[in-house]
Amino acid sequence: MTNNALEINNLNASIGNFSLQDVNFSVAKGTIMGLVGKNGAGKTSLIKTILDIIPETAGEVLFDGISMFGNETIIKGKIGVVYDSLIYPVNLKPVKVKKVIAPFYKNFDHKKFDELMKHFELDPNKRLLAYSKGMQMKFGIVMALCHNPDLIILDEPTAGLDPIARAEVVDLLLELMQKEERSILFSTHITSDLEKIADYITMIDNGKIVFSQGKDEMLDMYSLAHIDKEAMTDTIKAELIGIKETAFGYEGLCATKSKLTNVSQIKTVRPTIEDIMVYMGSKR
Amino acid sequence: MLKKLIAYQRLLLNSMSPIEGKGQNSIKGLLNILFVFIFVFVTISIFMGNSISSNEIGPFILSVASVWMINRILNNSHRMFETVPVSRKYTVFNIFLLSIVNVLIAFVILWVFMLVLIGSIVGIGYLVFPQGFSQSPPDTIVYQIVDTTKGSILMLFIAMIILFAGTAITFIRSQKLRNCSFAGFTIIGYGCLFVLKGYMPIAPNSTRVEFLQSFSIMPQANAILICTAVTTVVICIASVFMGYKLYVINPKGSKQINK
Repeated sequence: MTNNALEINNLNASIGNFSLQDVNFSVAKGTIMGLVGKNGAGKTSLIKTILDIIPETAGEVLFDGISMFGNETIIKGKIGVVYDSLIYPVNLKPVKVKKVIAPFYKNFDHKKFDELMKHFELDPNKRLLAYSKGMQMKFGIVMALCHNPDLIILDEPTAGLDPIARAEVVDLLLELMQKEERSILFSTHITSDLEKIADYITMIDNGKIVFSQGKDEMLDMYSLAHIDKEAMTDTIKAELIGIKETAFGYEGLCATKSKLTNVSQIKTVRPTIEDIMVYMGSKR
Repeated sequence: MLKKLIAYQRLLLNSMSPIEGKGQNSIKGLLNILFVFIFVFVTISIFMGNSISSNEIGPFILSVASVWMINRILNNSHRMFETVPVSRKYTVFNIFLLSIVNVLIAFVILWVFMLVLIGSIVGIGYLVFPQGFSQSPPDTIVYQIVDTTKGSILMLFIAMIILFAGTAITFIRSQKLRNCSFAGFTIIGYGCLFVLKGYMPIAPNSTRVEFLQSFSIMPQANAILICTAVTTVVICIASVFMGYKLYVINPKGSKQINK
């Protein structure tokens, strides 16, 4: 028995010229892990490798301590996946998709399907082709939740949604976490969604994990420093993780423990996940 | 059990992505048209004598179409059939089964369509010119059915080889290797058919080689049929084993948990 809903150890995979290199992180049971990274950083490739859609060249992926390969019947019944685009044929109606998919799940909740469709204001008798991209994404979320999975993997589920729909999705995930103990791996580049719900953040860049740690711990670990132009020295530059010139001076990320937090001409504030992502990305 | 099997067949049939005309690059589109043109040309040149019947070309075309469909299902970027909790063994078994189901469905649809079409034409013809129809069926039709039995059995074997070997190739994950395998299989297959056609005698009621009729009157027809039957069995078993090896057996050897 393990405490991790998902555990990735030294995962390597190749997709054309791109490769995932020694990916290590885990999602503890009952927590939300945010997977962040710029476009092309490897988020979708990582999720596809986790789900065995892209073959791994080395390493292992364990779902509740069990490998996916050879144990699909057990694992796929316990996970719900929302892909970056709709996987269901667009010529079908949602009721037909449900009819095709539901027989494979012992605990497919038809009532929940109706409730969620109503909640997201989706017409179950309208072809998916007639749905907007946002509506298709919402339908993907509905289908991923109806069999009450223990682990939900979402690949940029809020990317095509308007702010209201995004808030609805985030609220729904929060509600799920409060009512029932589930684990979520949530990939996105819209970091404001993660500020609300994530317990842990993993950042990926160019196929490598930059960091993977608790959100609050990470936000406490770094500070965003605003430095006056005349105060800038090489010593200060050396302390900064990424630097940007602004109209008023310089802005950069520094470790909260660094000496910069006590310098009078430097104002430090708590960064956002986006700040950390931007400066960590520019550092590389 | 049967209910689950039917449900999975339905899921597989629904997993085929629609053909996208917009997103495809023009060179790839032109190449696809060229391949279809070559396929039609070569197929017609093998099976066409003075005439071509649905008995000759039907199983061949339907088998190729079925393999093409399975290739689209298996090598689609979004594989809906892989999202549901079933074992890989079950998926492989169902994909091979689907290759046959596809042909049967298409065959029944075509048969019903042809029956309705011919029935309507004959019916209308009979209503308009009742005196033009004799009371008994013409002898030539009965003669032709008996005459081409061996050829029809050969076509059945060819269709089985296309379905099983073609389906096994669709399990190859590397696109380059898969395309090369398809090309190799096509060249070998067409090569054998051309060689066979080269040895066929001219059909008795024609001035050219008619594939089914000419094969049926070949002196070596029985021997060829026995060899083809053995080859078909071997290829079918080897194809299922290859599909299983490519899709089910993990190269890294993960352990299966029995819960």
